[in-house]
Amino acid sequence: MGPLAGVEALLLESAFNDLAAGSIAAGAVLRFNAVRLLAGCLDCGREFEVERFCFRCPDCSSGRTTLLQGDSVILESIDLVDEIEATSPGLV
Amino acid sequence: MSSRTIEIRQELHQEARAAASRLRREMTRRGTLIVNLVSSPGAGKTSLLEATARRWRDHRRMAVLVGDLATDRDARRLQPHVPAVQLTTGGACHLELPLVQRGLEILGSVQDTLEFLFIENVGNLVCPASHDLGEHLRVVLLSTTEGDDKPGKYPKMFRSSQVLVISKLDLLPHVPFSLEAVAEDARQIQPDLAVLPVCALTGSGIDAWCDYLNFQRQRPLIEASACSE
Repeated sequence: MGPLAGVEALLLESAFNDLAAGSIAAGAVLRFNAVRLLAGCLDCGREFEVERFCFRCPDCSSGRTTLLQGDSVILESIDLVDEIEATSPGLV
Repeated sequence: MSSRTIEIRQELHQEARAAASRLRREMTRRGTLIVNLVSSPGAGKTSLLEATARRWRDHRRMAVLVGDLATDRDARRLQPHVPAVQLTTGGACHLELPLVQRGLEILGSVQDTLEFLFIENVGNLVCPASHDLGEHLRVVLLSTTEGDDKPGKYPKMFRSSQVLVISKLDLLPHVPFSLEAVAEDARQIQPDLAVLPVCALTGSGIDAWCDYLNFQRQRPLIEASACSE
């Protein structure tokens, strides 16, 4: 999740916990992997970390830059735990 | 107890973005430029569209889908000039693609020959930034009364826009607002941003705005024809 994803981890976690309550996902934990905001200069090719949302190339000052990372939320993986044996010992 | 990990590695908005791209391609094929107008409430989106419609009367075929939480006030303002459909979000703070598609269905055959489709988003500088509506151009309006320090406070909106329209230019002598300062602040975030000052009431800047839109409409059509060769 990046700085321009438009998502605040604390709020997403709170919403997730509300939705998960009483469902099969109750008690599940969200793990966030924060990524930096990266841009590339289309003129000199430099890749740079965007600080204070300034997208000008720090090397050549070009304004022709493209965002490389940090504007999305990516669901990487889901860990599933099979608890049938543990929670339903009477099930045949 | 056993556990396993399912690798997903998908962007959460992936399907919505793909659907938006399909709409964009389809409208490019028809020769329609989609413009998503975003701003805080009261910045003058509807007034800009009224001025645009008056300027283009009989010259350009345009229609408007206009989003609001409630009422059809904006659509009724625009309907004397152009086909306009009100999209009420029932409290939601932004438009999403399914609402736009419903609006297009209501427009019916009108949409087949449009040169410009304007989508007037819900007044909000935050959430509309996260939703691709299939537009070719995202235009953010900022009025002189809102202050010239706003771009840096709403980076996602200004980064995702291609045009900044400064509205209510007639009030400039009465408010502490610098055109140079706002352009510089916005271009830190989006160096390619086009800046167009307008006043919808006096008509100042409306010609330049319309010329800009005409030019932009030609661009995707040229690119599309280059791609198909």
